[in-house]
Amino acid sequence: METDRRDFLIQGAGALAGMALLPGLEAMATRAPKGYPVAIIGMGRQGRAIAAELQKLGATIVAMCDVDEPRLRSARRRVADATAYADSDQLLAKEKGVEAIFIATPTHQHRGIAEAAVAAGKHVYCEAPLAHTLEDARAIALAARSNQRVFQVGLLARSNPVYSLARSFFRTEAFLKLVSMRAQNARKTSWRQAASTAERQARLDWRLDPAVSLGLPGEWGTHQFDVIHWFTGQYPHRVSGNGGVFVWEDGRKVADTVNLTLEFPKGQSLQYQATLGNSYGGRYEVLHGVNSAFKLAWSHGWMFKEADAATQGWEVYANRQRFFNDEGITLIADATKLASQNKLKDGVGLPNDSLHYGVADFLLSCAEQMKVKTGGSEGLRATAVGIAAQRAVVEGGVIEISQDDLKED
Amino acid sequence: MMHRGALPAMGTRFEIVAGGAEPTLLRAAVEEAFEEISTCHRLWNVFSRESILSRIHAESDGHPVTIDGLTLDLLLACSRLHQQTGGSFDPIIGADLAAGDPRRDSISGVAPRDGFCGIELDAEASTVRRLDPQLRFDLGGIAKGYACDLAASILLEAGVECALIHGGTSSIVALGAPPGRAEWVIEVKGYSRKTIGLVDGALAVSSAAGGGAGGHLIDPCSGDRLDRHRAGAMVVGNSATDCDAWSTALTVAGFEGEVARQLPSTLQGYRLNNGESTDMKPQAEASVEEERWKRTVEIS
Repeated sequence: METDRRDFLIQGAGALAGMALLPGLEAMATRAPKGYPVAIIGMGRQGRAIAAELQKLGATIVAMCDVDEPRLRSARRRVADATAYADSDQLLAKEKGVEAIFIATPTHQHRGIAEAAVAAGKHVYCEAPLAHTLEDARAIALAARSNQRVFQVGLLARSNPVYSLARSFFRTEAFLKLVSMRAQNARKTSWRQAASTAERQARLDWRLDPAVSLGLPGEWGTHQFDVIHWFTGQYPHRVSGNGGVFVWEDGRKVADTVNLTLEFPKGQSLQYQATLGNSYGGRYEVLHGVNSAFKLAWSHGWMFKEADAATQGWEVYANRQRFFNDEGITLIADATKLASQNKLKDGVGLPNDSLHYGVADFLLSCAEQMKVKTGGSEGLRATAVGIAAQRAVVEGGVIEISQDDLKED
Repeated sequence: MMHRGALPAMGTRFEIVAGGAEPTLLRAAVEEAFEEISTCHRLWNVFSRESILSRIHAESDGHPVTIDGLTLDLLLACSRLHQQTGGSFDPIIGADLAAGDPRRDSISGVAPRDGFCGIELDAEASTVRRLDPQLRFDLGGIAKGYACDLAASILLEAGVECALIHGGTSSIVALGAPPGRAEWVIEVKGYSRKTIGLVDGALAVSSAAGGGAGGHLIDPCSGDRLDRHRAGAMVVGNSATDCDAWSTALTVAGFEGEVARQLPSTLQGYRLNNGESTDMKPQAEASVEEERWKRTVEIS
C-alpha cells in the first residue's frame, strides 16, 4: 500500500492521533438509541431546548411536565404527542414506561424531583447547578449514588467534542504548563421572563429572587468553572468578587454584572466576568499555557501557539483563523477523518449545540451502559464552587472553599 | 412608552415595537419573542450544519428523518399552502438550483422534478422523507412569516396586546393598534395608496426583484427565474405565514388565472407594480384614516 507524505503526516502526527481518539460526531448521533422513552420535567427555555435535541436524536418524549400552563401549551407545539402533566409526582407515578427523566426546572426545585425520580428507579439527567444550597446539592449527589441507574449532570463541556480535543492537547507539550485562566459570559438580556400576571411573573423570575437564585456566578459560572475543574483536575480553594446592578435598574437585587477571582491550590487563578448588560465577546474560556493558549467558545475552539513552541507535523494542514495580531489554529473534532477527505474546513465549528452532545451521552449511558461523563459528584463540586462564588459577590469578601464542601458525606 | 428591539436572523433584521404595558414586561416579552425567532433561524437555516434542513439534506438514502414539532407544524402549513396555491408556492428546489443558490448566484431553467410532491410528510411519526435525494428545502418564502406569527403568539401569551413585528419588512404582524391611534400604518412602495392600516392583522409582500442579474424568485412549474420587473404582490390577512406564502404564489402566478381565484376569502391580495395597484377584493379593503401615527414600516 502506498502512503504519500500528506497521508503519512496525518496518520503519524501525535496531535491528530489525539483527535482520532475522540468519538466521531456523526457516529455519536447515529449511535444514540432510537425511540428511547423519556420525560422532561420543566418546559421553560432549557426544557424546550432539551426536547429539540431529543427529537434530533430520535428519542421518544413520552411525557412532559410544568406547573405553568402557558409553558405547557408552548411545549405542546413542539412535542405534540407527549402526555402533559402539571405535577411531577403524577408523571412519575403514571408513566411507568419512561426510562429516563430530564430535570430542567428552576435550580431550587431540583432536589425533590431528583430524589423522587431516583426513588422511582429512573435514569436522571439533572441541569446544573444541582441546587441552590450545599445541603440540597449534597442530598441530590447522595441520591444519585444510591441506585444503579444513570445520573448525569448538565455540565456540558465534558461532553463537548471541541473541549475534549482541547483537553487532549492540554496534557501534552503543545500546551505544556498552565500559567493563568480567564473566562467571561456576556449577554444583553434582562434575565426576566414575560408573564401576564404578577403571581406568574414572580414564579418565572426565580433567577432574580435573592432567596433562591445563585445569580450569574451560579447559573452561568458553574458551567464555565467546571471547564477549569475538568482540565486542571483542581477545584478552587478561595473565591473573591464583586458585582452590582449596573444596567437593569428595575428593582432587582441580584447583580447583573459580576467580577470574580477563583484561586486554585497550585497558585494559578481564574479571572471571571459575567454581565447581562453587554454582549461583546459572548461566552468563552481562555487557558494560557507556556507553549500555547486555548480559547474555547463552546461551538468553536482555537489554539494560539507561542513563537518558540515546537512545530508539529500536522500544523501544515491545520485550519487557521486570524484575530487581529494573533493566528489561531482551529480545534476541529473529527479532524483526522475530515483531513483525509480534504474537508478540514467543513469541521470548523460544531454542527450542534453542546447540549446535543450532553443529551446523546446520557442516552448512550442509559441504553448502552457507556460511562457517565458528568456524575453527581462532579455536579456537587461544581455547584459548591458556584454557591461560594455567589456568596463572594453578595457578601463582597473572600470566601474559602473547604475540601469538606466538595464531598458528598 | 414603546419598547423597540431588533434581532439579526434569517439573513435579515427582525424588529419588534411593543407598547401598552409596563416597560419591564415589554422588554421581557420582546426578548422571549426573539428567542423563538432565533429558534426558527437555527432550525431552518440551510447554511448551517446544525439546522434540521441540513440534516434532512444529509440523509441521502431515502430514510425518513425525525423532525421537531415546530418544523412539522411549518411543513404541514407548507403542504396546505402548496395545495391551495396549485403549486405556485413551493418550498422545494432542485439540488442543481440549490448549488447555485439564487441568493448568491444567477442561474435559470433548472426545475425541481417533483417539488413538494416529492416530499413524504408523516405527521404521526413526525418524520419527513425526500423521495428524491436531489430535492432541497428552501423556506425563504414562508419562514419569516411563520416566525412573526410565533413571536406574536409569545407576546399575546405574555399579555402584550399592542405590538408590530416585522421580518426584513417583508412579513409583518400587527397586534392591536399603537396607543391613541386607530391602526398601525404600513407604507408600501409600489402600492398606489402608499399606506395600508393594520389592526390585529398580518401582511406580507413579495417581489421578483433582487438576487443579482436575474430576479430571486423561481417559477416552481417551469424552473425559470422570474423577470425582476414583474409585478410583485402584497397579501393582507390574519396569518403572516399564509400571507407570506400567498404573496410569493401571486407574484409567481400573477393576478389573472386560476391561482388568484383560489385566494381564500380571509386574505386580501394587491398587485404591486411601479406604483400601480389593483385590489383583488376591494370590498374588503381596510379603511385608511387621514391622521396617522407616525410609526410606519416602509416596504420596498
